[in-house]
Amino acid sequence: MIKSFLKWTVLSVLAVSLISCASTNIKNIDEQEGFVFYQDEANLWKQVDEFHAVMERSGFVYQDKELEEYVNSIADKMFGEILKKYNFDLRVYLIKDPIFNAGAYPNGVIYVNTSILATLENEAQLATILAHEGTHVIHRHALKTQNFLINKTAFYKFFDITMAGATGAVRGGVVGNSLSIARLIGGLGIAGAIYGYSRVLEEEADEYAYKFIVDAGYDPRESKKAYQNISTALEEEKIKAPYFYSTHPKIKQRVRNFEQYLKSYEKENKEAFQKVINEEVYMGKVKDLILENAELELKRNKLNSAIAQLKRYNRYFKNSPESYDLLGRIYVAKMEFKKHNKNKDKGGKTDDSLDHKQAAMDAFGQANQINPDYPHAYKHLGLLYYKKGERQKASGLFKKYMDLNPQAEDGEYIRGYIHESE
Amino acid sequence: MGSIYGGISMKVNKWIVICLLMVFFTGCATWKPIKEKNALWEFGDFRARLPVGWARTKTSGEILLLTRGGVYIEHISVSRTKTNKELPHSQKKITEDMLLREISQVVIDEISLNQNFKNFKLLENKPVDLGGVGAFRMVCVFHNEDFAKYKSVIYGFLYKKKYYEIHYQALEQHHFEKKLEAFDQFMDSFFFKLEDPESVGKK
Amino acid sequence: MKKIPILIFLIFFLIGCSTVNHRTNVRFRDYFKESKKIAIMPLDVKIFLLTAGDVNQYKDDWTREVKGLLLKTLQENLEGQKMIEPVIFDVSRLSISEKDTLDAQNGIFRAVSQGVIDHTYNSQTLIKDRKNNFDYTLGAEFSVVEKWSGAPTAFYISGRNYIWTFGRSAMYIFAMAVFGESVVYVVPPGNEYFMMALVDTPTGDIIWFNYIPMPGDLRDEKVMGKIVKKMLDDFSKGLEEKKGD
Repeated sequence: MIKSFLKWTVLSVLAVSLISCASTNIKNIDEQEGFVFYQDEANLWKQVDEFHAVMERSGFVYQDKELEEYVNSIADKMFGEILKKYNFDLRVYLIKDPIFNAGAYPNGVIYVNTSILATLENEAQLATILAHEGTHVIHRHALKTQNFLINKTAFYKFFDITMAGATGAVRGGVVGNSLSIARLIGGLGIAGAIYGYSRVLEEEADEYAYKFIVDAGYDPRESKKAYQNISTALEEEKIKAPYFYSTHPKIKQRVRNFEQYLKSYEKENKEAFQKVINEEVYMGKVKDLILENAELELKRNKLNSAIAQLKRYNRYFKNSPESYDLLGRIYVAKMEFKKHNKNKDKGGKTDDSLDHKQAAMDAFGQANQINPDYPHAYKHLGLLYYKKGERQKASGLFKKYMDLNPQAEDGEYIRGYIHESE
Repeated sequence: MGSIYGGISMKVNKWIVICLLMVFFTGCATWKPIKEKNALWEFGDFRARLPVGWARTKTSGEILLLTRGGVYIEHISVSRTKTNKELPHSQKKITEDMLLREISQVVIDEISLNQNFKNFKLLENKPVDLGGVGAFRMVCVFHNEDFAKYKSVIYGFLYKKKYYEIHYQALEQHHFEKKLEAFDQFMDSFFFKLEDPESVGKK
Repeated sequence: MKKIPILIFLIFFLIGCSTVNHRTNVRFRDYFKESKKIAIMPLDVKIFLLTAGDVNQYKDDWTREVKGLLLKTLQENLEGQKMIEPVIFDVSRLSISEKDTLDAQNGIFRAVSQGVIDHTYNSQTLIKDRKNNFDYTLGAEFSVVEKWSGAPTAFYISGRNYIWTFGRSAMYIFAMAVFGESVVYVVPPGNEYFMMALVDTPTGDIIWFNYIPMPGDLRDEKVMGKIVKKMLDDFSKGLEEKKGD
């Protein structure tokens, strides 16, 4: 009976695998005569168009037209000719999100999270990310991945059912790989953009990205640095997120790939290393974004990333009370984290030797020094004293805050603390 | 015709079958309608009067869930979570030594980082006294994935080492104002049996 | 003696078992005293392909086909309805901000209709009072739709199909052999439904609502014809019943 059951299972699996075998022989956009949809590609685009329409109105798109145009001009340098030739549109949008991620969708929309821009140092590094993502679009990786994953999930589903049947598992036990993959594909073309593609396709994206960067005149040494910066930031935070740019091994692989390309092309392309980096232009464009993203990093508890970004900001833009005030708040958060996570050594490098309270006070002090009429630093310093029980010191600072900002939204809290202190 | 037992069991069996069939066809509703005017909800040290004409249930996440026509239209909920538990979006924790203002900020961060709450906007955040316990009261608006606009009133407080939230949420169009009175009555009647004043949270 | 329990059972069954499937507002009784213009809102119909591995593939081509078939079937069936003058709501005439407002109204309708389905149709979550005193509304702000359409009534139609691939069907049979009746949890069907609703545009009140889960393959002209006819027959029956009250 077991033999016949197994025989039947194998035959069924084979049958279904054949039945659901969708084609994976798909040409890149720049390999066709003119742009023509493949079967199901139009459906994929429609679904992604709807997703994008929702994103545009969601409040998560970073609103800075000048910065958006600048980022798109970088993409245009690399892909402009292809896009014109094949009458295809590629558009980059910035998403307010402290998680490291960027994604290309099959309809030519590329999202880059603000955390990526805040971590990169110059235009050449951003070009690397855009080149990698743009290659996914032009090489139709979403469509190729969808068909591959449909076949894969069918196989896994049968395997799961067969194993559940063989072990006598109850209905709730059949979850396995098939369902988890299917859930990822649930949004189709969207899943690959967020979670990444297969190793082969990612390496293909790296290889072509390198060519696009060099052809566009960017210094290719910055390509490796782009991923190194992201890798360092991931190590600092030890954040666990399933997204492509938040998965440390995948980013490390990108660093290795670009190292390899640099070695291979070094001899033939020595002039490439004298080319464009555009650090100052880049930093000028992302100035406001870095501050706003650091605020998001604080919300998300990515404290080390936020500190690194603000320190870089302060090196470039010296006289910003907002920046020092935010830095102070982050040090306060680190102090609290250390207090409540004493036995945790998996929290990444929390620079345990640093006196976070003092660092916070110094940062607030710096903000007040730059602009004595900047109200928020007084409040945040006051809160630091208040929680430590130094109510009189706190009260004085709160009063200063309310004098400078009588319509404060949190006025009722602050007035309550003043009243308690007295 | 068999024994007395057999005779009685035949009669009982008929009625059991009829009752079971009635239950089957009329459905096993998990929502209990609130019909009495002063129906009281009691949970531990909390008491509150329930709004007439609404229906109540309990879920794994909420110790009380009330709605009139459907949770996507309006609902009042009371939830309880452990402190020191990492929240999914902000990865922050609500701890017992936090000021109310800090707790409210963690809640705001948690909601604003959740991409299911589109165009999130905080309208108000202030400290209040809730039956002798310090709480924050926050009002916010957001859109869902269909761009229907919702308005929420959230009360949050610490009590006996746990974090509690009382939440009123409704479609901003028509429903929020219409059902607000029912929520206000619920909150006006909300009280604690304060046996241990030391257990309340800081302001 | 045996007939009595059967009779009692039938009485209870029939009491809970209406001849029509719809829900109506108390205003329905007098609502169609005179013929009314109804604006057919943009159809909210989506057809998906559900694969062996549980992947949902949106099919835009099938969706367009079904929408075309639905409009044709509606036109055929509405011709006989004396109290209704259907007009198509033309979204293209709206400005971008008006389209955003319409989207929001449609979103509110979806939220309210979910309440109707959960608490007046679904036996597991039924609230009897909501079913018996049906008073669901979108609110008077919905009156913008009257301004744009010129119609005092909006007609919403919504449907979802999850068409199984051959592979999925084969898997279902295989899973049935392994799991028996629990197969629906292992190879679930997808949340299929077909719904119609009439909304009074000046007040936003849902006047009439009809809902069928698992309607069948909407791409099939016969299935579509049957569903639309059944729903609109309910509507006519409802009008007749109310006139008799």
